[in-house]
Amino acid sequence: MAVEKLVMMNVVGKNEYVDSVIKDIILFENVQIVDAYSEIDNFRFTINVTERNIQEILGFSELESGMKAANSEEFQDRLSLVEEMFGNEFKVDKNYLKKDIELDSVVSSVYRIYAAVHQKYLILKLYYNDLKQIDTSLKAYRYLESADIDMDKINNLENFNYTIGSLSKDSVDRLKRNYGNITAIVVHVGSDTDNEVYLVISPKDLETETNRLLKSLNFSRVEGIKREYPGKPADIIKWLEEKRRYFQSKVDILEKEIEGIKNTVRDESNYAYNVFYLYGKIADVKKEMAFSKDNFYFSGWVPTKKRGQIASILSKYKDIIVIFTDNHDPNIKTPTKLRNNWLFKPFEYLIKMYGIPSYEELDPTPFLSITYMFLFGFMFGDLGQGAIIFIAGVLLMKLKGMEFGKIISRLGISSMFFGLVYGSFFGFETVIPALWLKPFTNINTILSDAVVIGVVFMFIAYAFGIINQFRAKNYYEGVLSKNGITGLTLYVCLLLVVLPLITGDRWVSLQILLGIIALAVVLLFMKEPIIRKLKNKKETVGEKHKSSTGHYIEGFFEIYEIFMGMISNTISFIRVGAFALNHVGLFLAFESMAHLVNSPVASTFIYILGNIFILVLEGLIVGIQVLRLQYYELFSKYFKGGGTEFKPAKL
Amino acid sequence: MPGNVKFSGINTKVSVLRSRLLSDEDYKALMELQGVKEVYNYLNDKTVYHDVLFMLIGQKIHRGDVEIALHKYNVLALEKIFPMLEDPYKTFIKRYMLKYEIEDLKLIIEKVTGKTNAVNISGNLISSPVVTKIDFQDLLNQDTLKKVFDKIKDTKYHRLLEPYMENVQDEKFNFYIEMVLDRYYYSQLLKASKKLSEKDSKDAIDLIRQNIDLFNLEWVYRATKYYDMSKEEILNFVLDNGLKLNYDKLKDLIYSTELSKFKDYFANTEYKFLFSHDYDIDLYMQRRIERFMYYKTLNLYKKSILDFGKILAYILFVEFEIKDLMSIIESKRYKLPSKEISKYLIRTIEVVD
Repeated sequence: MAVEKLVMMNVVGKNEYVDSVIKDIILFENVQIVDAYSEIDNFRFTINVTERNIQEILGFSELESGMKAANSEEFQDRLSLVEEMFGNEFKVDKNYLKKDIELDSVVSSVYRIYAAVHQKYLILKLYYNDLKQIDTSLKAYRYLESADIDMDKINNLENFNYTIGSLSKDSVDRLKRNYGNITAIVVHVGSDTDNEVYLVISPKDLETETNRLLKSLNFSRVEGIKREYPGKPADIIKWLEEKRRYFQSKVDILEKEIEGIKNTVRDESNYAYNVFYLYGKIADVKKEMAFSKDNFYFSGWVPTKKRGQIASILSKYKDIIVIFTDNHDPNIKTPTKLRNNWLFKPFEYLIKMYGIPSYEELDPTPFLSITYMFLFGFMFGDLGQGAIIFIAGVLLMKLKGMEFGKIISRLGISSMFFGLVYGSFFGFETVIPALWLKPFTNINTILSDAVVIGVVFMFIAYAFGIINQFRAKNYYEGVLSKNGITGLTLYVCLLLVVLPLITGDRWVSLQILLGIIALAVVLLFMKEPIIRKLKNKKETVGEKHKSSTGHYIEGFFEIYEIFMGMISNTISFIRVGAFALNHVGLFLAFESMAHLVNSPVASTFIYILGNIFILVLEGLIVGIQVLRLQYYELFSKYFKGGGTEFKPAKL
Repeated sequence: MPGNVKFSGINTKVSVLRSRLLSDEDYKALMELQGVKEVYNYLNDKTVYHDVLFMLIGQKIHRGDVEIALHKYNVLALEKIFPMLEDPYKTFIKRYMLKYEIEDLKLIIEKVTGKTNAVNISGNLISSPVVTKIDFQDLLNQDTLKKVFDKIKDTKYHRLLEPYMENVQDEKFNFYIEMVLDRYYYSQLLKASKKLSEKDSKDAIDLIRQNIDLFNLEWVYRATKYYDMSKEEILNFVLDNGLKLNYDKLKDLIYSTELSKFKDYFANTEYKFLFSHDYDIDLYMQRRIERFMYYKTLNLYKKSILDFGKILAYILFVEFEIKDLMSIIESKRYKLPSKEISKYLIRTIEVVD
């Protein structure tokens, strides 16, 4: 339940086994690859990279003979034919790849598969092509089907040409409106989706004019009329259909044969596909690595917990050196890997929606998860409706595979729990007893408790913020800023000033409190000059200083904003109580409507409608309100963000 | 009135956007500047065109790059507007933006048929990813026309271009592609315009249709005078939906009027300005049309109260402005004085010697 600790893993090994090292790393699925060149450049590769070696660092290295064969054009052609034949039947699965891979034998297995099938497959493709041509011809001749004329005759006219083609509706219109000036006979013979198909007969002498005219009309010729087909169109169609049947039967036989071969080599091909898929990935990883004549250099982030595992996996290689470095260079951003248990995990989604926490920060997920569930339940406590939310969440997750469903189902459970606390079941307040109280009869308690809960959450948020500042080594900010210790002190004192107005006893005298408040205000006001002063002792940085008047005006408004913020953030939590009341109130409205109609059917209908209304509308509003409280009231106290997500290399 | 509430927000926005376009003072200053680099600096430092020009900061400034960047401002301006609109206006603006997709497609075709020697084609593509569904970068990677053509199989362009695909060597290949695509663009635009409410957009649409009239006139004039084309072909390439000159009127013009009679033919019409000059009809025809359209647009902008006219007028203003900026940049190459430059601008800028 934290931001997982990561270490930098630097690996130096022999080039002869580089591919299998990368394979192990990819299948390990827990290493985020870092550009090894930059690691070497920055001297973080502490071992074995002496000056002499660095000078040898070369680009890519492909020493394995197997890989050379696999990269040849001839082989790639064969592989792609096999892949084409299987279409998208192949599946990537890392379980196929766990064993050692003998690249040479995979390559030869691809050759074998290719040899067994390629002739048949190429013939099949030729047949497909023939079928396609027959189909185009069929389509073309069908436009002429009703013409009772020998094609030979019109194919060999002395003075006339003919062509078939399609025109859009627009063009047809233009053609019609200018018939008088057209140099051809144009006959409508059919239609084709959006277009009309015409037979155009024109004198050979005017061929150029006619062609240009047709082009200007966007006339698209229909292919497939062949001069060598004699006879009447109807006969040609019959003959073509016969031919088509014959070809189709050939195709069927071939397809069956190929399917048979495919069945015998399916596993083998799939394995080969997986292997070369893996090698594609390996080539990608290599681009991030450095190579010298004999050695490769690899860098990547690994979760600290897994370092033992990966070290033992890699230990089987001879002369390999694996070094883990713990000290994080401030110039390199360490990625953030959140680790949470099953209960909190889904809420990471809400965090990522806001931003990725930086590596140094506390993982806000557990706090966010607990408070989110608590506040949602508090505002929307209902045993029955909660159950429906739970079921809806589970369904979303199972049917649509939405991660978000998991959050909803957890909110449902929280709502059910508070339903028991308030004794509320589908809005009815009398069905089950309340474990704590009925909100509507204890309005003041609910509202004031909501604020108390808010104050507690705020305290935790302050604590988180201070810890985060210290972890990021921003000590001055941690002490002096409005979200630091000074801010927290100010907030506590303000609470102690206001609290007695409600409870009646004053624990700390007003003078002392006002004194502390004054001091805190001065500190906040002077924060920047103080920090500058303290820092200047150690380092003199030529920062641009603001003019002093500017600083005081800005400072004044900042203090004002801090006070307003503290008050409004606290009061903001009243909404938590208000929504708890609202939930009951809304149902009361439907209940009185149900009483008014005086008909059992109608009132049942109103009850159901009311429940749906409350579930959808109020459920949504409450969900958003809680998110707002999180993002605005709480995150602003502690969340820094600016991290990058941990993305391990995978298949 | 309530019907027009939908335009109140965007009309305010458009007023603000328009106020950010260049003033006459800006134009005067730009015309005075020495070279392209200075024009670039002025536009980048002081004007709204910074939005597209800042990307060139630190590079050697080439005229072509600045022009492309400015072209992109057209698209950017539209992208800002269309999310604020609702259908059918949104669709209309999307159709309007088709022209950039078509420009890109033409560019790709030119590239793949070896008819352009532009180097950075990828950078010259301007269509908005918000609107276009074509992956132009992918098209750019294709090395033959056939492959490009296969990639656009599922678009309307396929059927339009199909009849010409076999005749790449034909000297008129580019001409056909251009004409067919432009005609398609206007038919799509007008189709979308029919869905708009008459009350809110009649003036705007009339303006577009008037532009179509002028395009047709220019086409008929130039084609008759210069191109080796039959009257039927000329007629087939005119655009539909002109405001005052419909198909039949154009047919009448093409078949029965000599070029020299054009002046008389239009003597008493709004379009007489095109032919009523004794000299330089050809040279300034384009600019005269644009100037006419510019003043029409100004008129539309002033007349429009809470309707679509203001929005279209703003879009056209941006286009005119960018054309003028191109003219200014171009004239820097020939070191023209301000007075000379102002002749090539669409807007009238008084230049005192």
